[in-house]
Amino acid sequence: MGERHARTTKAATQGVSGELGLLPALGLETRKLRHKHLLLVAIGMLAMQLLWLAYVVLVHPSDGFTDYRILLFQIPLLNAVFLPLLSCVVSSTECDVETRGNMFKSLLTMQRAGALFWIKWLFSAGLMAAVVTLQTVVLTILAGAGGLDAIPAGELVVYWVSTFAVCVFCTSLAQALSLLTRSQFAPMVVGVALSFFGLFSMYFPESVTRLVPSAYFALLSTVEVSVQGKTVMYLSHPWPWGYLVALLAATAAVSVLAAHAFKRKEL
Amino acid sequence: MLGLCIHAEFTKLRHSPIWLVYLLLPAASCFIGCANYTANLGTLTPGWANLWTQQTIFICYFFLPALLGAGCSYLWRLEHTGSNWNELMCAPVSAGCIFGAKLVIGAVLSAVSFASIAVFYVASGLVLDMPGTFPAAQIALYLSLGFLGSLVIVALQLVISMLVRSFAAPVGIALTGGVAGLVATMMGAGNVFPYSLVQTAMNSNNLVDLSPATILQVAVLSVVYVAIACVFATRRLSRHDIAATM
Repeated sequence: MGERHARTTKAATQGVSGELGLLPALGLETRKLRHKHLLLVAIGMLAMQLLWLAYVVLVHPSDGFTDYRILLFQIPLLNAVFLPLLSCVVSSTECDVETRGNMFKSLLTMQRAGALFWIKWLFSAGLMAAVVTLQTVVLTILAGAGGLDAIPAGELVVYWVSTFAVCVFCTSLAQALSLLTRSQFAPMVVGVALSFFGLFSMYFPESVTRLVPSAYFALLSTVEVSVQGKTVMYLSHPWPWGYLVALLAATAAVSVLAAHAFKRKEL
Repeated sequence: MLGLCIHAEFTKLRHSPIWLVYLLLPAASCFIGCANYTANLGTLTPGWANLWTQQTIFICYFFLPALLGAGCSYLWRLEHTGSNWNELMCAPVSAGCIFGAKLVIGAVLSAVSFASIAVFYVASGLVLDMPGTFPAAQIALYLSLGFLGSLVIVALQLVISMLVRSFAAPVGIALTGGVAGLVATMMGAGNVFPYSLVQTAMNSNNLVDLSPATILQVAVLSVVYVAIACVFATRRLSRHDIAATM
């Protein structure tokens, strides 16, 4: 069976080009999420993360310690706990609107299944981009408030790209599960599992860590720690962009396969 | 009446694989905890106490609340679908029984997790040939008090999932609650904050002194929080039943 679309196109979209434009479609997705408390959850999770960081930087500062890399070392650990689940919450909530109302049959007579899939994907990615941007801004503010050296712009860009890439993988996976299984329990459990294994795998050798997508928050970090006796030093290393390429390839594979399966799925 | 409602809830969960998750997450935690324990024997004192810490520390703080949150969302899922909320409100059963039955099922899900934690802890300890005597009384206390503390999370999450008609958002709230619980424990409010009670009871990182007074406080507060959640939910279901739209 091919992609279902527009059996009633002429009647339904008279005066329009047959497909909803990108911005109206994104606006539509935004309106679907009214009263879903998604923003509140995202802000709550971010607030908990930043409270934790503030505790590290502001409450227990070491005398004369100004290395901003303490923040860039701590944040991937917190991201591994919070962001996979938040990504899954975002995707699942977005896909649940149609699933719960059993609206696909009606909706997909007016909108291409593929277009709907990618609009939702874009919306989730956009929301996570906003979350990561907000987090990056607050990191900069925290560094200043904690008396640390300013985080170089290049480091911030690397952090943003790395974090965002992992989030997009998580949203893609959650969206695939939400749309294909129709059970929102599955993406939520995957979110919890990604958080769980992401955190735990950081205590294991890199060969194990590489197998866990949510551990890429730490794998893509440019900061490592060196402990010599009672002295803790933060060191920089080159950005392991090879991991980013692998992650992007995995994200593309998951998304394209899921989109294809969704287009062909019998409702 | 309550028995009928509980039976109905079990019927809704027939052929649902969610039980497996509550069994398998503690198993994964046990496996990783064992690996971590074995890898760090140079710095850890070998024994049952440190094995307990390694296996339960993260699951109690972050993942058990989130998992219980997902279970609670699942329990309200059917009622929030289509016009089922109208049918629920018309059902010839009291609001208290509806909420009570869901609380019982949530408690069973939590019990599965705690049983899994116990079984895997003992089995892994035996496999790793732990030195010293098995602290049966202490572990029984941690587990029973932890289960009681987990009922608070179940009750609160059931209320949240009842009010917030979204599946995923309450799960995020649960994870945030778990982390807030850890912060509360570090600030010395671990015996009071609802999401901290399970962490205090399980004593996963020896942050608290489980004295008789603490045990009593955790037990009493757990019962009080669950009772408050039940009363609130029952009143809400009895008086605010109109929002039955999607």
